[in-house]
Amino acid sequence: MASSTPTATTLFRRLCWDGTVPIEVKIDSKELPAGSDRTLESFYIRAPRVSYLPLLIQEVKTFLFDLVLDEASAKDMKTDDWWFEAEGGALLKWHWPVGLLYDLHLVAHPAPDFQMKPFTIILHLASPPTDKLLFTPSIETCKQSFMGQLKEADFLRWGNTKRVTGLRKEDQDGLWEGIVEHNFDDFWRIASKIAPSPNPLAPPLTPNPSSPTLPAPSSRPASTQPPSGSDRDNAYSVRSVPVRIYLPDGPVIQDLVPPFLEDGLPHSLNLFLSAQLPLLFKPSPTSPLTPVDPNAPKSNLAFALIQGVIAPLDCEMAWLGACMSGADGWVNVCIGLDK
Amino acid sequence: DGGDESALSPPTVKSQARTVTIDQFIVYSATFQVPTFYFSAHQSDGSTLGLGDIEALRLLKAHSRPDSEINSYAITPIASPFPLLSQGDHPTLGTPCWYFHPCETSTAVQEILHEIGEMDWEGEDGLARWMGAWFSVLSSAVDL
Repeated sequence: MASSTPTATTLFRRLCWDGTVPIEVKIDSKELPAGSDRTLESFYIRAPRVSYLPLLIQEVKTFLFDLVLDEASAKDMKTDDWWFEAEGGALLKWHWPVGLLYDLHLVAHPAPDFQMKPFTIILHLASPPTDKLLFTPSIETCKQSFMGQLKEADFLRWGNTKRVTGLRKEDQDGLWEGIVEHNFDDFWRIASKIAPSPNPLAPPLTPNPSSPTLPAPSSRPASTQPPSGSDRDNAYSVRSVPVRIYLPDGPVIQDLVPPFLEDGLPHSLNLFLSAQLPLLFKPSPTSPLTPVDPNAPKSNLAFALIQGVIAPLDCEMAWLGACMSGADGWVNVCIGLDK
Repeated sequence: DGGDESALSPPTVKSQARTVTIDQFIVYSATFQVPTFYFSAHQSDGSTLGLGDIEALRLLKAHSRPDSEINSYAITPIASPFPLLSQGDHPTLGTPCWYFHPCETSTAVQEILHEIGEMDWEGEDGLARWMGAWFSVLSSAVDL
């Protein structure tokens, strides 16, 4: 039985859920069939961060069909070959949450005053580059990818996927339905059964099932209260927080993120980033006893964008995992370079 | 095996000769901490092959897999809500590939190591044996 979720956690989850990003959809006019109204070039959507491009297609379709295309073309139009491209030319992945696509765009093309400008994306109606995008970009494949991410997050946290696979089919489907309908209550009613809650004052009394590759937490901050509820769902008891780092121009970085480090310190964002990206983030003053890299910067050269917020570096990774993850359970950290 | 091919029912593949390139990758899964098999298949004009065509190539060994539902984007065992094979980003290249879900890999490999009495392995030799067992598991699903 999941322990009841602290109010603050619910608040942050609500904020993340309600987060939206402004998107301007421009249709590639070269691809519009003859007879279309070309004066209506752009269509604006405020898209939920937790949504996906295939789910937005419906709205775009309505706009196109009602206002742009003439009847004959509307009848023939298939959305199977539709694909999106960012204005700078970057292909937009169907199966990445909209919030991630937006944040990545923001760090890759920073605005001088860091405003939330609409993300301009170009809708192509034909010839998708299937060598670079997942083909069959349907709502079904999106759902499958989402469930896969949930399962991976589950595995990272607990070493097995029992929480996700143990959900009844209607609950599994219900999670995706919550995303499609964008209904916080419907989604979290089910998600709270599998998502961890932060409870840093109650570290586990028994060691976690350890794997050879993860440090077993040895010394812990002393607890002044007995652990409340069950450790099963404590964000600070996980093996690893599901986190991915996205650089503006590079591959996605994924590594193990235990909630506490070997010396018993909570794993903070600062410690995590200075270990993963030592040339961009200076080591924390309380970092483990490793020799200071002479190439390490004296001050941070970059910042971390999580759910569209520049995250304070003293955030704890376990807390981020419980409160600032996407609907799929992952904390997506987009790295932006300081000017 | 040359033999009596005329006695077999013909596969449902187009009869014109075509070159199909299959790129195969073994990538370490950061999540499941095991090697994972990714592949993509395309024709000489660059177009990617869908699952139907891939099945027709006999790259995947259908007979050894549990009863599964196959559609254009995944192979999913009937008994499971999660697929055996589906599409995903190549972890370092970022390009779309088909991959075998690795959550059962560790169990399958352990079973083989147990069978051959190789549970206590150490060092590089042990890792090599683990990979050997991994290839065994893979080759039951893929014609390598």
